[in-house]
Order: sequence, then C-alpha cells, then structure tokens
Amino acid sequence: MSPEGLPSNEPLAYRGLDPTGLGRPQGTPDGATIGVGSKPLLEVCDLSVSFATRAGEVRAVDGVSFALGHGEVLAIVGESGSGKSVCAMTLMGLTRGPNTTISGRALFDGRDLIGASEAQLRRIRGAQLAMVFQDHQSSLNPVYRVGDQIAEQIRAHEPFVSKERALERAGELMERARIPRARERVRAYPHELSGGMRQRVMIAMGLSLGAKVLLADEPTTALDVTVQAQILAQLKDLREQEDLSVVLITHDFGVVADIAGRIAVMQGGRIVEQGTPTEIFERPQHAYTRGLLEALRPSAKGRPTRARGAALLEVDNLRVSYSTRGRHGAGIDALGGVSLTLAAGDTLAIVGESGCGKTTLLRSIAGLIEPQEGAIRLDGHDFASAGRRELAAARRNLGMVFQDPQASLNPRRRVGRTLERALRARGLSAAGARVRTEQLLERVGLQPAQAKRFPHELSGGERQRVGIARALAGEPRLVLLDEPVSSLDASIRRGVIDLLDELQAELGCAYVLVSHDFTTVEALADRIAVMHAGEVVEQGGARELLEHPKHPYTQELLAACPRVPGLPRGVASEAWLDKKTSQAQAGSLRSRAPLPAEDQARGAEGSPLRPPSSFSV
Amino acid sequence: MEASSAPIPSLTDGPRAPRVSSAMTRQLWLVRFLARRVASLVAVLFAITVLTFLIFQAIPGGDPALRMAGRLATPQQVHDVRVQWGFDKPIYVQYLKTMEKVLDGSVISYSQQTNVEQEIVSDLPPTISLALGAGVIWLVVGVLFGLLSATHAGGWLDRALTVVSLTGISMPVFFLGAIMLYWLGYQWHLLPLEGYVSLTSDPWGWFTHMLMPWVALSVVSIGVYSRLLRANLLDVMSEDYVRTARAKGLSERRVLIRHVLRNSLMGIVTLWGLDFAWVIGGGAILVESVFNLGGVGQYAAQSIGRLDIPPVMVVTMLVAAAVVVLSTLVDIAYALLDPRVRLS
Amino acid sequence: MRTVLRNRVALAFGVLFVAIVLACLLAPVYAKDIAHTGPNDNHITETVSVGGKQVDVVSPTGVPIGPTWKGRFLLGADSNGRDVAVRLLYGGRNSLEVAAIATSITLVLAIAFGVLAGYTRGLTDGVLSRLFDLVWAYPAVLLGVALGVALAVGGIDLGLFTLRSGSLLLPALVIGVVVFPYVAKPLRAQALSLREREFVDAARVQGLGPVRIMWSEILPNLASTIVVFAPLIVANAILLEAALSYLGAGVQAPSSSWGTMIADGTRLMPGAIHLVLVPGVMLVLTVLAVNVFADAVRDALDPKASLRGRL
Repeated sequence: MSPEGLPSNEPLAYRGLDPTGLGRPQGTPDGATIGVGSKPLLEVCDLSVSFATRAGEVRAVDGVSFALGHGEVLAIVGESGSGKSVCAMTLMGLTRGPNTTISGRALFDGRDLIGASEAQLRRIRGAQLAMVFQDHQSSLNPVYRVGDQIAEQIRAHEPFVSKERALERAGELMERARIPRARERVRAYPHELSGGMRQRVMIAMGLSLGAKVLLADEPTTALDVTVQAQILAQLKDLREQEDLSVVLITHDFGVVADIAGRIAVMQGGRIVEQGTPTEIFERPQHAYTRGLLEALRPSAKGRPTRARGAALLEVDNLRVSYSTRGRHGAGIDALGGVSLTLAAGDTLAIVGESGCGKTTLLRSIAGLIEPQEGAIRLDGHDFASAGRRELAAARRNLGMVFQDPQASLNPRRRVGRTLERALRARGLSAAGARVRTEQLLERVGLQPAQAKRFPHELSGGERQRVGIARALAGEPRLVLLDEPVSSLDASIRRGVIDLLDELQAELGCAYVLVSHDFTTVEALADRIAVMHAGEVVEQGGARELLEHPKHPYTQELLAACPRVPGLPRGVASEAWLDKKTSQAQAGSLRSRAPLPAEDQARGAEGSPLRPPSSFSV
Repeated sequence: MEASSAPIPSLTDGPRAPRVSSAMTRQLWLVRFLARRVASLVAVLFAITVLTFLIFQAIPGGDPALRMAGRLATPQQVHDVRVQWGFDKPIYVQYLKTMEKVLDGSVISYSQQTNVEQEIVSDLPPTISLALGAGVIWLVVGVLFGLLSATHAGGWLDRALTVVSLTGISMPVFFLGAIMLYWLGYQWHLLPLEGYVSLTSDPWGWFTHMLMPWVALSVVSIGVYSRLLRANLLDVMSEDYVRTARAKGLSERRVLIRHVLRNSLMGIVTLWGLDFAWVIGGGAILVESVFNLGGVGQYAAQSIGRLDIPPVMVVTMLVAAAVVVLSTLVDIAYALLDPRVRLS
Repeated sequence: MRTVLRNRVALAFGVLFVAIVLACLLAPVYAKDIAHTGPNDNHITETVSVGGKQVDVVSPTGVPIGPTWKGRFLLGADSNGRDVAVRLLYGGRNSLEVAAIATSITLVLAIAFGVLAGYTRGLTDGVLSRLFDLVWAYPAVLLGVALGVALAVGGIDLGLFTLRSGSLLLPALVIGVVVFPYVAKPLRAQALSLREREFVDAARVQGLGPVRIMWSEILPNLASTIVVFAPLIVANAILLEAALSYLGAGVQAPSSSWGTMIADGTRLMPGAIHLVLVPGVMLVLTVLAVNVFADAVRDALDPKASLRGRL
C-alpha cells in the first residue's frame, strides 16, 4: 500500500520473489509465504474490460491485477456490480464479443489468455482452467443426465476415450465429490438432485480433467447455510489433497474467513485492497473494506431485556397444507401446528433454512394464505378463517415489508403515488395523503422530491426504505418483515437495520421478522423462533437462544453460519466441519443428522429428532 | 396468420418434478398422462361438434332449414329438410340428428345433389400432399433461417433474413399464389397452370403441379416460423447452461447442436405444430382455390361461394378435429422430449 | 417511443401506413375531383383517350384496360368498367374499417377475459381457458369462414342489436372473435405471473379488492405487451379480412374490399393482371408497413432484444 493509504493495484508478489517483474515485493508482518519458490500459476496484470451498451461504454473491470500460486485460495470479495464475475469470465474467454473491449494481460502457466485464439482457449477451458457458477439450477442442461454432461466434457478434450469409460470416470468423480449414491445418480437428471449435489456435480465436472485452477463464482450463494459449509469443506479438501488453486468469488466475508489464503476486495471494477485474512480483518486499510466489515458486526446496542407487555399476536396451532396437484403422495404440510406469541412493541424473529415454512407462516399472518386449521389472533380477534370484514379490520393494523424491493413496488407507478394510495386506502384525503407522504419519506431517510421517481430510478436501499414507509403508512401495530435486507448489498444493510430499530422505538409497533441472516436477527430480535420442516423446534428470548441453544438443530444452524473472526460467535471450527461432511456422506437426500455420531443411534435414521414443539423459556 | 402468440414453452421454467423419480415412476406417469390427454381430446372434439352445430344451425335470426337447403330450394325441399334435420324439434334433437348424419356419412348437399362425405374423401389426396409437402419445406427452411439469424444476430445476414421474413408474413397467400401463377405459369410457361396429378400415376407431374402451391404456402409460414424460432434460439443461447457448455471447452458447433438446438427442439416442434394447424385450417383453402387443386379446402371454398351449407359444416368439423388431434400429438411429443415435464 | 422514432426504417414505414390510411379516407375527394367517377359507376360502353387514340374501356372480348396513369382510370378499369383506383381507395376504406373495428373487439375481449382468467384462477380461469382453447383450436380462417357464411346469409339478431347481412360489422365481429384467443392466452399468462409478484401481495395486504387490483396494478403492467400486440393484431385482421372476402365470406357485394378485388382479378387471369396486382400490392405494402413498425416497437420495448441486435 502506498503511504497515503490509497489502494494500490499492484499485485502482492511472492514475498521476496519477483521473477516476472510485476511489482515490488511487499513485506508482510507475519511472513506468510505462498507458493514458495514457484512461479505464479495465474497472473493478471492491469486487466480492463468494457462493454458497449445502449447507454454508453461501461467499464466493468478497471485495471485489475492479482496473482495466484499453486495450491492457493484467493478470495475476491465485492458486492454486486463490482466486476468480480466479469473478471473471472474474461479469464475464461466467455466475455468475448463484438461489444467487448479487453485490455491488459492474463497469463496462465505462462500463456496469454487475452490474446489467445478461440481454439487455443478452448483447449485450456475445462481441461486446465475450470469454472463453476453461482446458479446451480440453470447451469446444468436440464435435458441431459448429469453423468452424460460430465462425460461430454471428458470426451471433448480426450476424444479417444470411449463413452462407457467416460461415464465410468464420471461416476468415480461424483463419488469422490461425496455425492451419496453416486453410481446411481450418474443417470439422474439435474432437476432430480438437490442444490448442494448439483453444485458438487459442477465442481466434479470442472475438475474432471485434472484442472489446476478453479474459478468459483459465488458457488455457495444460492445454497443453504449447512450445505454451504459442506461445499467449502470440499474445496478445502481439494486444495490440500490435489494442490488445487482456487479463485473464490463471493460477496460474503464470512465464507472466505476460513478458507482463503489471500483476500482481494473489489469495488467498481477495481481492487481496492489485498491481503491475508488477518490483515484484512484486523487492519483494514481502505474505507470501503472497513465499511463492509462494519456491516457484519452486530449492533452495539444489543437488546436489553424488557418486561413483557400484553400479548399482541397469538398464533395457535396453525396448520397450512398445499394440495397435491402434480405431485406424488398426499398433501404437503407447509406448516404443521405452529404456535407463537408476541408482545406489543417486541420483535419476534423467525429463522430457518429455505423450505422450513417461515415464509408461509408470515404470509398466513398477513392474511395472504388461508390456513387449514388454527387461529391467528390480533389483539384477541381471530382472523385466520375469518370473513372479509374481520380480515379487513385486522389488515388495518398490519403492515408488511417484502424481501425484494424491486418486485414489491409497482414498476409503473411513482413511489409517491404508491404511498399516497396506501394512505388514501386508510381514509386520508388527497391533500392529507400528499402531506403525510412527504413526512413518511423524510422519516425513512429519503428526500420528499424522490416521490416523483419510479422504482427503477431508485437504488436498492432507497426502494426498501419506500417499502418500509408504505408498511408504516397506516401506523400499524404489527409490521411483518420478510427478509427485509437480504437482497440489499452488505454495505447498505446496516443503515436499513438501524432505521427499523429506530422506527420501532419511536412508533412502538411490534415486528415479526423472517430472516435467514443472523446479523439482522441479532440486531433486532427480542425473541427468536427456529423453524424446521414446518414446525417450530425452539423458541425463546433472543440472547438466551443465541448463546445457549438447546435444540440440536438450532445448534447446528448457528454453528454452520459463516463468521468473520473477531466476532462473538467465533469461527465454525474445522473439526466440526469435518464431522458434518462425513455425516452427510452417510445420510440420505434430506439427511439432517443433527447430533454428533454417537447420538445418532437415538433418533430415526436420517431424520431429525422432534422434541415437543415449544421450548419456550 | 399469427400462428402462435401462445407463450413459447421455456425449458428453464424451474423444476416442477418431485425430487426423486425412478424410471418406473416416469413410465407410470406417461401412461396416466396419455390417458388424460386422450380424455381431454375426446371432450374437445365433442365441444367442437357442438360449436359447429351451433354456428350453422342455431344462429338466431333466419330459418335454419332455409339455410341448409340453399338459396335455390323450393318450399317443398325446405320442408323436407326441416323434417330430416329435425328443425321442428328441440335443439338437442337437432344436434343428435346432425351428428347422426355426419357420422353416418349421409350428409347431402342439396344444391349439388351429392354426398358430402364422399366428396371429401375423394378430395383428400391433394390436400394432404399440399400440407405435408409445404410442412417439410417450411420446417427445413424455417429452421435454417432461424438458426442463421440467431447465430449472426445483429449482422447483415440477420437483417436481410428479417426483411425476407417480414415480407413473407405480410403477403396474403392467395395473392402470392396468383402472382406466381401469372409469371411462372402464364408468362414464362415454366410450370403447369393448375390442377392436381396424383403421385401414383405420374410422380414428376405430381411434383411440378405441387411446386408452386408448396412455395406459396411455405413463404408465409417460413416468415412466421423463422422469426419465432430466432427469438426462441436467442433465448436459449443466453441460458446459463450454454455458458457452462462453453466453459467446459466444447467446440462452438457442439454447443450449438447439442445444447442450443436440442433445448429449442420443444419450441421447434410446438411452433411447427401450430403453424401446421393454420395451414390446414386456412392457407390450404386459399392455395387450393388459386391453383385449382381440387382438394378439400377448395371444395369448402366453392360451397361457400354457392352458400351451400352442409359441405362447409362437415369440412369445418373435420378440420377442427384434425387440428385438435394434431395439437394433442404435439403435446405428447413435448412431454416425451422434456424429462422435467409433469403437467398437472 | 424515442427509440422507435430513431429507427428511420420503421419511421418511414410508419409514415407510409399513415399515408395509405389518409388516402383511403380521402376516397370521396379523389373520386370527385380527380377521377370524376364513383366506385360503382360503370363505364363499360365508353371509350377513353390513351396516347392520342380512343380505346374501349372494356374491349369486346371483356378485357378491361390497364393503367392509363392519368386522372381517369389511373390504374385501369375492371371488367365492369369501373375505375380501379377509385375502387381501391373505397375498398381500402372498408378493409381498414373492418380491421380497426375487429382489432378493438379483439383487444377488449382479450384484455377483459385474459386478465380475469389470469388473476382469479380457480373455476373462472378453468372455464375461460377452455373457451380460449376451443376457439383457438378452430383454425382461424375456417372459423371465420364458417361464421362469415352463416352470418352472411341471414345476418344476426341478438335481440339487443341486429346486423343485416350487408353490414361491415359482421366480418369485423367475426374476425374479432376469431383472433381474440391468440391475444387472450399470452395476456392471461402474463396476468398469472404478475399476480405472484410481491407488489400485488402488498396491495392485498393493504386491503384492496380484486377488481381494483386488476385495474390499477395488473393492467398498467400489461400495457407494454398490449402495445406490442396491437399492431400485430391490425396486420392479421387486415389479412384475415382479405382472405375472407376473397372467399366470399367477408365483405359482401356491393361493397368492395381489397380481398374482393383480388378475387375478381383472379377470375380474369391471365388477362388484366393489373386487377390482381393493384389491390395485392396495396395490401402487401399496408401490412408490411404495420409489421415493420410493430417490429420496431417490440424491439424498443423489449430490453433483451437490444442486446441481440435489431433490424
């Protein structure tokens, strides 16, 4: 780094070794050495990529330089739009096109990737330089079996390999990737596998020819937290056993803490900071890096325990099931007998992985889904299976904030009008609504002038603030929040969470917050309910539950959450991750062996234990 | 005719299948699916007959017996018709009598004094030759154009082909046919002027007589088809799995054929099926009339000109039924091609 | 909209279309002041001066003269001695009128039923979808022909209103009904997916009723689809009307349309080819203009299209 603390784009050369003259060697305090004595496997020097679009020239990557040695994991961290994916795809030659301008150098094993011909590049792709993508669902061709797709890659580079032999190799690779029942699954179609398995197939496919470098573009973003832990463990194994080098691209610091040898932070197409994890986490130099890390820390305020007020919301044995259309078997229970209480002014956070039913629960409380059984009482009035009038009455006390601010605002209406309509629905006059709209916008931190904007003209954070304003328009006593910050970039989340906190203190409304992200939960929750497979497995005071989880599933969930070192929870230990992976091997499709191996005998094979549904404290 | 504004089925609509499925289950499901489709087919055929019946017999205003008997009928004939078809009885009796006559093969054209269904049977060969030949032509050329357009998207070839397609779409089939007939037939004496020669008696004659009608019919379909295909192919080409295929190091040709084309197959088949339906239902009538091929369509057209109802009614029913059968076959092909389809 | 205007080719064709429409609307003016004859006035026994000589308007063998490129019989005469250019414009008026009415009928039906089906789902959707499928299964021309013929003979009497057999509204009604499922189905599909969007949920949580939601949330978001479809419907309506009239199931005598004119012309082939060419070329130009314009509109509205290249 230059003395003024400004970012330097020079790559960190190898601790004293600089055979290519790319830059001055940087001294490092703890003297970590990487790839001792070896040439870097991948060297990127001043890479720039720009696209000609209708709106003008867009510079996606601007003068990026980094290097990767054997057996090294380089993590490139940045938010959406930082150019990290484009960077990786350019190395693979996937961004070439009539509208693309690429400049700079990228040397792979001494060969230039940028200037290489398409034929030369094709020989390298898949055979020596592999890439896996984020969306495991759409990245595999749905009409071919997974084994065939792996075999296709093998035979594309080694045409003399017979089909049978290639399929056999595919089976071996899938087995080594720890896909349960790999030999059978070779003949499966992508849609028949779970997300985690698909991603393993992608990794196996990428490495099928012994590639030395793997570019992993957000490989775990679309996966559940526990599956993510398994995939990361697999990557670590590959690094140790096969000397694989990985460029891991992600937006999540927590993911890289455990696995990365070096971290590069990207913003707006540039690398603003590079260093070892220790350097980045403990001594971040650049303001942007500091901002990102700050967003991960829990709120300094914490939540003091308060005396519980009267129960505002009561959910009593709620059951929601979906009919069978098009599926085998009987109706699926999305919610099987859920009970909760919430006091006025408190926040109840509902956590769980995808498919556990938390969204269904929230939507039922919002009146969007009619439950099969059970009661939902607001201030004592049950509106679960009520008529329109009761529902309308209940809705007057409800507000809802949705996950995707882009999708939850009518794209054809100016945001001011959206708010005004909400207010007029509560009975305000036109003039009164306009005044109140301005007040609301100011209260959520926006300018009144922005009322004239369309949703697509606002940033993600601004849109979500409008969504919050809309939810609060009728001064509701209960606000339902469905993953309110998940679709926002990490640096903006803190602001919105703080806003929600302030608003609650000021207006005294109760929150029901659904989230899979514990940072948000820690900041806002008074009580937490953990859900799994349609049932609440544990409920209790927030602090108590986070520090002393009782139910095995809760423990597992908390342990799997990737954490940045230095925070209270601590890093998920490697030993624990190892145990998880071996348990996953032994289990079936949906195995969720919640207990350490010795306790497994107690429960049914492969199914989680079901303690009584309330562990409330 | 705008052959399909129906949404083109997309392969990446997300998996709808249960997670685990074995070969056995899929076979079982296929059987059940077939049964369902056949049942639905029967229901739709029934609805078609009812609808046709209503159109011709039950339009309010005017005397159905008069309509059936034709403009030149004597009062006695009108009375006979009324009795035979049951127009003096309640409407469901009328329907039953109509269906009885149709299925019996005893529908008679009063003004022509001929049996409608026999006429239809003898008129089938030209129509089938026309439809199938044109179908093959526009399938091949349409796919070719669509592929070329999509792979050179934005380039001059794409633009040229788009112009050609747009002109094709804008051309009324009968106009094109008339023009071709005039220049190629009358003026330059390249091809025979009209009529149909059966394949079995004179293959070359059959071919030369069918060539212009085939081209006339195909031009419009190629226009529609290639543009829709272009859009479909471009959609598929921007899918993630195509990117993965490239990342695997496959050659561009392989990517195109095994990934892009294979996944567009569904769209290709469905769109072709829809176009074919249009051809039988509309284009065929017009082209047959222009080139005097003596097919079913022309028969219907002549009857219309004479305002002779019974043949029109029977042909309508027949063609609509054929179209529905065809689209069911397309649906079934669709289910066979896509391993993920589990329709509700 | 600006993008469309920047596309010069599309703009040129748009202007062409407007010019054609205007010309047809001004048919009476042309008839009176330039051609000095009406669409149904036949001059079968007259002669006209061509290149200094007097030529029979219709020769003794029944072949009418070709274009004179002068004020009278600019584009020639037909077998009844009528001025083709005048008939072209009057016929064009009919063709365009039928197409316009048909398009309106289609749009109203498709929007109303498509949105209703897509939003309400359940039984209503089931019934409506079957209805769409049924009408759609009928090949368009055939259905149009069937209806056209049935109605041509006796007109229609629905109690509320009666249409006599010569009325232009009949073919318009037929075309409107025949074409509407092609539009209703995609609109329904879009309404279906819009319904799942979160802003509709937000409106429901606010307590808005289904009708209000359909009107103010769903409908505006269909606007771009409708805008893309509208010109396509117009183009197809024009073609369908021509086809029906050609077969005799559309516009009925004594009214004319481009379709009937082509039919008349083909009967005289190979002589007097101008009788086929003139209305035919007019048809093609008009429909082409609409199609090119529609294409440009679609390109402008569909963001993905811009990435792939455009006309």
